[in-house]
Amino acid sequence: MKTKIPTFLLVAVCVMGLSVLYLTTISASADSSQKITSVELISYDANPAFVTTELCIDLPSKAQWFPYAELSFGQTKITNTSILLVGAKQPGILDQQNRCYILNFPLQENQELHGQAILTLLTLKADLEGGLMTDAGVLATQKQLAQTHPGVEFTTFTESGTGGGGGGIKFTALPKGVTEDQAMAWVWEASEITAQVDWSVKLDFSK
Amino acid sequence: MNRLIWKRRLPLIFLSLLTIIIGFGRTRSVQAVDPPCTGSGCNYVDPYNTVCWSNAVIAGSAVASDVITTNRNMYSGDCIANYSYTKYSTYTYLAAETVGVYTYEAPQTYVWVYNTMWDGSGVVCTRGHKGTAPGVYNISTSQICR
Repeated sequence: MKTKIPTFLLVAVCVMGLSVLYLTTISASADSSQKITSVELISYDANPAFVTTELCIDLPSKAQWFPYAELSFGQTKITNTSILLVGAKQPGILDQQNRCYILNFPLQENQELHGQAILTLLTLKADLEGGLMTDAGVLATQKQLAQTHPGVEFTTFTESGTGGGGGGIKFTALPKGVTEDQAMAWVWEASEITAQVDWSVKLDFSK
Repeated sequence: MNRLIWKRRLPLIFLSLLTIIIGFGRTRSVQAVDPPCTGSGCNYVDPYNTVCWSNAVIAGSAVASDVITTNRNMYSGDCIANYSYTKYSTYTYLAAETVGVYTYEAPQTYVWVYNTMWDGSGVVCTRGHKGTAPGVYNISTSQICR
């Protein structure tokens, strides 16, 4: 009888601890669900330099997702070169899973946009757990890389200087025949999560 | 008899300690940290290794014509300050600019660079540059104002 109460306590601690670990693992891997439930076109506009569109997206998770889209008209296809997070300075913006973005598509000189264009949302990308800017992101990238490209091992560094700083990737192991440039491309690839999107809308510029 | 009981319990004790240690580690990692500065107090302050870096929002992003050089306008709500972050796919000469304020021109090749912060209570514009030597840049992103 004397031994039963401590045993029960130990079991309870184990169950509680494992439950916490399970729940945190679920929330950490939520990024991989990568499901988009809706996209809404808020506005669009064209000036001589840019076509600008605003989209609101139900994101797959609370990661810092960024949308990449294509605008096609006639034989021309343009991808967005800048993305602005709407309300980026609002407190708690990253707690919202529906966020709005302004996408800019650059127009070439004398490139005229008349009639209809099709805006296609191609993909969403986010840094894996903060990407190479954070320790957690580096660790997650190392784990991901070990699965996709076994034998490629790396660390990162960031050093402060006067007025700023810089950093990079250092390889500690590379399979024979693999160049650092190739391996670096794999590291970047492993440091991102993507969500494929199948959404498009017609934009009318005839008015 | 006592030895047998302890032998049976050993895995449980080990598991308990492990979960407590891991749980403690996770709790520590989410603890709030005081910002080193806020608003104009952050002007020219290095964000690296502070909460201004770790909790920053990517307020905007722009890619240059080479489709690789990328600049991010980073905003820290804790510090109410922005900074510029430029990255490339491999080692090269990079610069991170806060437009009208300051450009950090890296003296050596890096894969990413950043500059010191600027008061984020107003609109702050950033852009990035890539070149062949410090101060010699042939690729630039557009400005991102947030």
